[in-house]
Amino acid sequence: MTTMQIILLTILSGLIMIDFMSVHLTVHNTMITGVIAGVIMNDPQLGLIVGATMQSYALGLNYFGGASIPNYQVAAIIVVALCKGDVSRIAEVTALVGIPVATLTVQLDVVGRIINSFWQHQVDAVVPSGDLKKIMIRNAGGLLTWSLTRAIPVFICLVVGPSLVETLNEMMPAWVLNGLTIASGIFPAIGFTILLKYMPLKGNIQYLIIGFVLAACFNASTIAVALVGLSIALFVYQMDKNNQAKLVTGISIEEEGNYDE
Amino acid sequence: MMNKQKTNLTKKFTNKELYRITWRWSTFLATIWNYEKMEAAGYLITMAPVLDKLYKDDEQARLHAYEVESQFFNCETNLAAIIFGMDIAIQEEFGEDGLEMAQAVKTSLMGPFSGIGDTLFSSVFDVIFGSIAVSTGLQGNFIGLLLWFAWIVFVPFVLRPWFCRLGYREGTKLTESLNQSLAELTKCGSILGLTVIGAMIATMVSVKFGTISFDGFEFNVQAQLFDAILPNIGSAIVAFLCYQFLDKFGMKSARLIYIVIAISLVLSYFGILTV
Repeated sequence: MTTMQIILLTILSGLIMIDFMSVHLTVHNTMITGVIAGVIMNDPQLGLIVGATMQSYALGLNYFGGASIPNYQVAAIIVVALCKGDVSRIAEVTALVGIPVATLTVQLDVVGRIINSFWQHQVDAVVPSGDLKKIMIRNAGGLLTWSLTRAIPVFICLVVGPSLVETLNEMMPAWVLNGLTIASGIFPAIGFTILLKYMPLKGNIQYLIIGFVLAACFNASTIAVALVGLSIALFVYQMDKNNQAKLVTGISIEEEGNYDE
Repeated sequence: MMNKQKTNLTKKFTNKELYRITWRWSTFLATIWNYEKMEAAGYLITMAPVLDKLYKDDEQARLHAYEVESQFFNCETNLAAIIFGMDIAIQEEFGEDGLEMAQAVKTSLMGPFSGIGDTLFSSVFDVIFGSIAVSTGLQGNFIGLLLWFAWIVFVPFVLRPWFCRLGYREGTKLTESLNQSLAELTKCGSILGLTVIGAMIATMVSVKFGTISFDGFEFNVQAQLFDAILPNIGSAIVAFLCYQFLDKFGMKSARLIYIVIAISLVLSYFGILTV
């Protein structure tokens, strides 16, 4: 890794975080981050695969109502950089460095949000003056907080990372590395669980089972499953609409049935 | 009175201005997100040009409006555009007297809108596009990612401004009709989302059981038991367990991740689970 690459990747991690809190072009999307990091490391393909791996852990995770979650964007940047262009190393580097870093960044996120209270007080102090420029300048302080909470860990990992991976690899017994890999196989379940908590699972579990069976037993592709789901959704929508129409016009179910025949 | 009626009929803000206001929101909404007032500063900055324009002849009213609009706010990013669209419409119609009403609309809508928006955008759309992108991306194919990126660009450039225009055009009338159609959309979207999540649990969560052996007796749990019943049953079991434990006993997602790591290490040591 050249110094230039370290600097670019550090800047990238800061920019990603600023986007996270604004336009949302890369939010929820670890893959874009992975690809950009891959471009910086001259291997977009590797970046894509690392991004997709991290994305599978992060699919359900979200900053719902300002909750703090592991930052897999940061992990993706570091893993891409430390894989040295070797796709077969992804699982190992993810287990050794990616997952620990992603979980530790949860705490940094909380720190960032606490520091931002300072900027909020600064803004509150100038609101009565009605001076928009002053408000904007104080608001911009948040850019510093957000980007530094991510740029600092990335920079440290990139500098000490390469030698750290080798040392850890030699030190760790096989079962530890296996354990971390097993954990990374379970991580996507946590994301999906969080999603399910936010969805009306009660009375709708049949759809979950349909999707599971299609993929587990029939090896259906994601698009195929999505199309089946869409068909069911449209069917239910039509049913609801018909029921509503019946309620409005007051036609009883029997009459409607006869009419159809 | 007549004067007020007149301004009511001729809308003061063009679509272009609304587009710019929406981008202010997209840019500044959470720059200083904090536990105290969350997106309050972002909301104020979004509304500031509107307030400057509406109260340009009345400095006292303008300062009052700044004060009111800098209060606590937190809402899902996309549907929030409807709220400030309505806010603009209300203040345009009623002036300073409308501030109280605008505040009431903000506080009463941000909760339900966050709930619907999080489900619709984060759970349904992101999961569908995301899972397609992941399954193609793991094979080194960019097509799924490009599809997702097209959606991601569509949202702030087209959808969010449209939400803002909708809120502005319809004003407070919107609340009732919107609740109905959004509820229906959320319901049908959830069905689609749940089907895809079911498939994702099967394909992305990987759990492999190892071999139990004692006294020369060997039993490969995965190959001899589960492969015969349902190959991916481990994924379903793990997902079920996570669901049971999350948000109970003070178990937040971060702590659950630590516990998963710890348990995986133990099960790996005893060979109950393998890679």
